[in-house]
Amino acid sequence: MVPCDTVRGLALPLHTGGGGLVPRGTRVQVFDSIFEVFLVLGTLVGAVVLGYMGLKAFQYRRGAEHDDGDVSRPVLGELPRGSEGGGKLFVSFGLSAVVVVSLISWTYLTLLYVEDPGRSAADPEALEVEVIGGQFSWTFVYPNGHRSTVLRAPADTDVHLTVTSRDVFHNFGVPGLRVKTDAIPGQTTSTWFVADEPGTYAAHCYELCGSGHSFMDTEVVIMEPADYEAWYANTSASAGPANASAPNATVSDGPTRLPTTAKGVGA
Amino acid sequence: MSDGASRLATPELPDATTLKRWFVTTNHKDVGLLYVGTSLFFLVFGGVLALLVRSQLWVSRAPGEGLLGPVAYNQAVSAHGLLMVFWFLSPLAIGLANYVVPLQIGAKDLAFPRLNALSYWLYLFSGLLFGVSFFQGTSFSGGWTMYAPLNVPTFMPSLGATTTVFALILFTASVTVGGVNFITTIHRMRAKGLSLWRMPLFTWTILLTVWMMLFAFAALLAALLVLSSDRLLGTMYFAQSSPGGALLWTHLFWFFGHPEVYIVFFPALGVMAEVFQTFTGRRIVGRKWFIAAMVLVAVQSFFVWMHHMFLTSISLNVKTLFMATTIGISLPFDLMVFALIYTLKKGDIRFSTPFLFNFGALVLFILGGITGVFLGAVVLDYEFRGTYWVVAHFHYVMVGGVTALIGGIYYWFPKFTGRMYDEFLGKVHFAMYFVGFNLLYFPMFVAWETPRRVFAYQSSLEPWHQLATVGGFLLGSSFLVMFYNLYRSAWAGEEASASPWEYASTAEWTVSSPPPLENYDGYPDYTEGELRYLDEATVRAESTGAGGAAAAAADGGTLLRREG
Ligand SMILES: [Cu+2]
Ligand SMILES: [Cu+2]
Repeated sequence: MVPCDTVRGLALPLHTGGGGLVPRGTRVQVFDSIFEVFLVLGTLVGAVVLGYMGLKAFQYRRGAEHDDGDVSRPVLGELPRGSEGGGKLFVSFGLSAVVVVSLISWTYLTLLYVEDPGRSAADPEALEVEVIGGQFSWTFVYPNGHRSTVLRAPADTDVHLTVTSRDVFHNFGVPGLRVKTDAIPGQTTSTWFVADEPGTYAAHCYELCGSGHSFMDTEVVIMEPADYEAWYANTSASAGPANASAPNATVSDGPTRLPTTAKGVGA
Repeated sequence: MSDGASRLATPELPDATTLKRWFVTTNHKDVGLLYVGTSLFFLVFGGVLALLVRSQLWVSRAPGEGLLGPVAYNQAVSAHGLLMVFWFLSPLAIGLANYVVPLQIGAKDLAFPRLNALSYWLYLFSGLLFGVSFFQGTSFSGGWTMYAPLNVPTFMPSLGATTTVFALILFTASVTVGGVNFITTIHRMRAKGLSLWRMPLFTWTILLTVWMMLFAFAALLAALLVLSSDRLLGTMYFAQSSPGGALLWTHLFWFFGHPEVYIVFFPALGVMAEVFQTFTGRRIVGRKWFIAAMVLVAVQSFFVWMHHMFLTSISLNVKTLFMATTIGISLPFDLMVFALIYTLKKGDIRFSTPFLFNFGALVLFILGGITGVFLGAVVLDYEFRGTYWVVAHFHYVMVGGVTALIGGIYYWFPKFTGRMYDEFLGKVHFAMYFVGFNLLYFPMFVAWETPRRVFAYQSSLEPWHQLATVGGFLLGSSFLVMFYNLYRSAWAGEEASASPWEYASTAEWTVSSPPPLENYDGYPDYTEGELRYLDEATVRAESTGAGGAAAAAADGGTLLRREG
């Protein structure tokens, strides 16, 4: 079973709480808490399994003192068959299955949360931005039609991204905010993030897209909400660097909105 | 030699020391050696490209800096992946299978020896064609996954990219021809008394591999034909203007691509099972369940492909389904790993080179497996997508598999050549290989935030990438030791007996090293519960019902352990 104490211990510092078992909060918090549990358990399981394996290999090396009087050895030309010892095999197998299945089920609850944080409708403040990938830069389209190659967003606010591409397959990711999604021509994907504090984060492309892939980077500038409002008030619809169609940038979806709708936008 | 045997015989072949022999041969052992040798050539080819990539990654670079320009870098990355997965890994396994499978099941050759030669030559020419693509402008530069629409002429107009697609089609033809041959051979040509359940585990893994190949490569072929049509005839299936084009490619590619992981890994698993049994002196624990687990994986492997697409526009329901099947497919592997580990118990373990490599392979596979569970958690997968976590994980699994196959080369080397390799140099190779491997791939877990296929990355990660580069060169140079060892030993090694390994039990060790052209000079038969060789008269008598098995053993059964 998942050691619930560990999980709760990790979940405590999360600012949105949530009962403890399923980590909530920003994507950074969700990722960090799950990753840590996996690292701890992974190291533990690895150490036990490899340790046991090494120990047995050492104990039963030729020349070591061990009693193998009653052990039958394979004989040349025999019909292939197995050894006894299946019972222990199933105990270990069952144990590993329980660990893996409960770990994954636990993270599945988190997946449900990440896919639908349940705030999109409740939060009228949420910012909707369309992201368009293109060889080899990113274009961000704001609700008022303003276009920019750097993403600016207020801190402590839900930011919803609708991502597509105007040429090849890209992937938009901001590691510092733990947000990432594919940018596919003819398709849109959605994702979201919340940044705790103002600052500048690097964004990269995570799918090989041609000669400039290594440098298809940009910045995500998180501002104090008031500063952001001031900046945003001075922007207006502009013919930005990209002239791809920007279908209704202000998507208003119901409360059970799943950010995974596959709608072709044509092109 | 009896009449029956000579009718089955291959026509006279030129002597093995002549060049002509290797051009005209259809014998499964010759073809097996050709496969192994050629695959090692492509290992060097793909390996040199990897070292170029690692050199470029020594520090984070600005465009145009370093050994490779941006397009050259993309070509090196793409060709490295394609060459290693297609032209090295599978062919090395198929080479071992060519040599060993007929011997293990008691067949004189594969069912269709000429087809077998054809599949080898198709393989060789497809690889050479790939080489040619480098001289036609640029080779393919869109990664081994070849995502659309980057793979269409709008974005990759060079002739070399088209040639690469052709090379892959030719390779698929080779695989299909070879696969059909193995399926027929293993299902139809086993010695009497050797039921499917009783087959040696290496043969089992090859049987499952070729069945998976048949279906998986069909999907790849479909994708490649459509791509060729886009590239040559001007159709637009994968074009940027085709709304589903990019997704269509990912579906077709990964429907092939996930089973391909097992196609590559299963033979390694088979080698591990054989080598573990021989060098621990223990039959494998839970053999039946081991086989059942493999069959389950082979079937399930066709139902997990969308876990490579968790960040595309597929719906949550589909993600959930594929998360479940993915976890499902990881569980049988747990069972196989535990079966191998428990086989160590009560063993009489000798740490010779083949065992060192296979023991090492199991260690690497366990690490690869644990880090794979991370990727099975979709929320983590979202962030690992396109990073070095994925790179490190699949190299632990795939090159972990290579480790076992290298052990397989050492294991069967005395059978191939009739001579022993140098044990000391073998151990030196293993030490350099294992240290180099972990020095190369483990730092990639630490530096996992690096995006894949870029050479500009966070400079704080540079020390880890430098460690990896050092490890890469160590791993690469360990193969020089192997080549020297095998080359010298093939001519000057100590002579090997028919069965140089204590506790070896499978049939290939009952014939001389190397085996005669037609493998056996009797009819292999397991009906009495162990292998014996019957002569023509006995077989005829048994098949007409005259005489009993007892009489047969008395009259015609040949003693086993004949010296070669
Ligand atoms: Cu890119
Ligand atoms: Cu997969």
